[in-house]
Amino acid sequence: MKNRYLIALTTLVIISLLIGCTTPKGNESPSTSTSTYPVTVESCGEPVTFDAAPTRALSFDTNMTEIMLALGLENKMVGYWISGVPVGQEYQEQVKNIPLISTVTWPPPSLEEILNFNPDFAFGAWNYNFSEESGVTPEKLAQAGIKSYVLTESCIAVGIKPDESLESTYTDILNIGKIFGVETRAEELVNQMREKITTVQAQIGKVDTPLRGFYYGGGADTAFTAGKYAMATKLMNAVGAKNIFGDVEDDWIPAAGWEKIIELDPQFIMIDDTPWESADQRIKTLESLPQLASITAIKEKRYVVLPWTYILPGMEMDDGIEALAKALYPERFR
Amino acid sequence: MPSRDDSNPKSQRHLRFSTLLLVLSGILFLSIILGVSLGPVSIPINIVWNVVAYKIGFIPAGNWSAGVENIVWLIRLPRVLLAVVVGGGLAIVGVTLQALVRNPLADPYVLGISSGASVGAVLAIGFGVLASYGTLAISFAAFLGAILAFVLVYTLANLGKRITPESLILAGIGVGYIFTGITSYITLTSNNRQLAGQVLAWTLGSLARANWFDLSLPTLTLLAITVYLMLQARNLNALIVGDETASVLGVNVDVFRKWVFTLVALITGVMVAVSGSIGFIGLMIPHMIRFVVGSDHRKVLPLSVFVGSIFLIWADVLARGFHSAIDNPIELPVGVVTSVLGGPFFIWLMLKNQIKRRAENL
Repeated sequence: MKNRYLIALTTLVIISLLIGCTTPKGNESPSTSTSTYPVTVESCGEPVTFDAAPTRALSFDTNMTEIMLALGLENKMVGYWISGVPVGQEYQEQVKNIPLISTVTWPPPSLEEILNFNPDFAFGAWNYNFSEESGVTPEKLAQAGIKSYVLTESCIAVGIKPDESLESTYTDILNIGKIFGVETRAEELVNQMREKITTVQAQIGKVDTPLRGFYYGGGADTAFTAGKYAMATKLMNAVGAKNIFGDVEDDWIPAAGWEKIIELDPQFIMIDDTPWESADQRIKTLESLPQLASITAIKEKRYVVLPWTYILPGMEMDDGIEALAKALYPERFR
Repeated sequence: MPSRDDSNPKSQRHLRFSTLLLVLSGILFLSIILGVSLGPVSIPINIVWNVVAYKIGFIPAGNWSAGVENIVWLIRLPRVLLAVVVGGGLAIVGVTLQALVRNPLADPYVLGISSGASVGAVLAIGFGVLASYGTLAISFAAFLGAILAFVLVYTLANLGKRITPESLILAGIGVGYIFTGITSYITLTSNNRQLAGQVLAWTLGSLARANWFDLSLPTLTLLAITVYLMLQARNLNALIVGDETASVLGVNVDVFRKWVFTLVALITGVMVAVSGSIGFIGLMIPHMIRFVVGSDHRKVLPLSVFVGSIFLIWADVLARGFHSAIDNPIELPVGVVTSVLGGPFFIWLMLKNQIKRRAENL
């Protein structure tokens, strides 16, 4: 008699434990932590340890904020900042009740403005919001007890050699997931992006000769363009095209002379549309320089205009690849 | 002070000067040829000059791509010619200003003109001021800024009814600080994240904006100014000794200074408008020339023009072609090259001169 009760009780306990520990499929509830704390992640090569998920997080700029929101972390955020481009439509509802750290789009928020929010975590990037000149650096924030995670691609600013692939973006998403204990959700997001990109690449199919591309970020005397480690180049590589400066050991090239560009004769020009300089203005500049008239992309007006967020590491990376693919191979996407 | 060398009779000195002039013309001509032939893109030298000959109309079209033609005719040749004009112009301005204010540290920018130009440039770049002028907007705005600065400096320097070297320098530096402050303020508080970088690049100077249309005004100005200053060379010589001495020698010092200052400001404005504030040339080339031939302006003026031109041609070749060494298409602002190249070269020349003087004084 006692044995049967014992068996029933044990079975009940075991079943409740199993129910409690099983992670439900679908949307991960943000309050269910699956991390075992403390967790340590690498931010620009420096280990950062978290004893618990941050509860007063700040995110800086559109792509960082979208990563936080895609992971469902709006309840852990106390503020965010954008440099001019609002977060995507699908995130507007989540971001509604999160205050802006600063309504000024440039320069980025100052140390005072940041400390005013009494945060415990900052997700930002070098040359987005962190810079030595402004004094807002992960070191400075750490002194105030605020832990930071820095976007991997931007670590080139502190001498960390970046990677040539899209993996660093996935790493960032997974690391944020780890920090906040939402790894499953992070893995889902990353897998969704990988799948979408694979599908697009399958639709592109075989590319016999890679199209020669050139990323143009403005400039008249010289051009702001992309080298091997810039996202613009990674997008081109992902669709089987080739950046004419894809072998240059740099991420963004701030002032490229026109001679080489004329010689390498790009077949298409990728331009990002930004609030501080529109794609139309950039096209106008290109077409106003008589020395560029021989360039195939300009003769044929083959400009691929993408929103700024598409050429950033972040949630819209796969949208960028899809948009670029459709622009370059329209006949394969009918 | 120029050394009165009696062992060197006038005819010999005269010969030395004219040989120097001849040699420099040769080097200038060669530099122009090489400057157009060299660049980040390797183009065979015969193709380069066939393109030029075709564009001038000497020969029919040949077998080269439109890209190569554009590189040679629309980029390299205008840039090299602009280097000749701007390099020579800045040098001759430097010589003149150093005489005008009797100060060896004077350069075309100490009079606040380039700071005024940078305010014009930042307004055009950042706020689209004068946008109706299209690609000429920045140059035009910079020129207007330069003129504004000039008017202010002139007025301030002339408050005592006479422009003296001291009043000119002080007014120039004061106005320069104000305008530089304005430029910095606009740049750093702007919510255009590109502005700071663009203004810095403009300020450091670049010949990238060279085009055939933009060449005409600086060339004419340079020719006119050089001719005028050559005619005034003796007056400049007198001015260097002192205002009283110059007066005694028949120079109407105040009128002369005002007139020359105005012309110098105008030509500086034109140069800076087209190519930004390229440093080093106006300050150091005059000293380099004086090390070799002394302070007689009849020699220093023309020689400075030649050396300034040659120097800037090569600085620009380096600014353009620097990438080949590091396999990165990046192009440097030419003002960076002039300073980095010029500084050590000048120090070497100065040390050589010091050593020679020491030997003479022993």
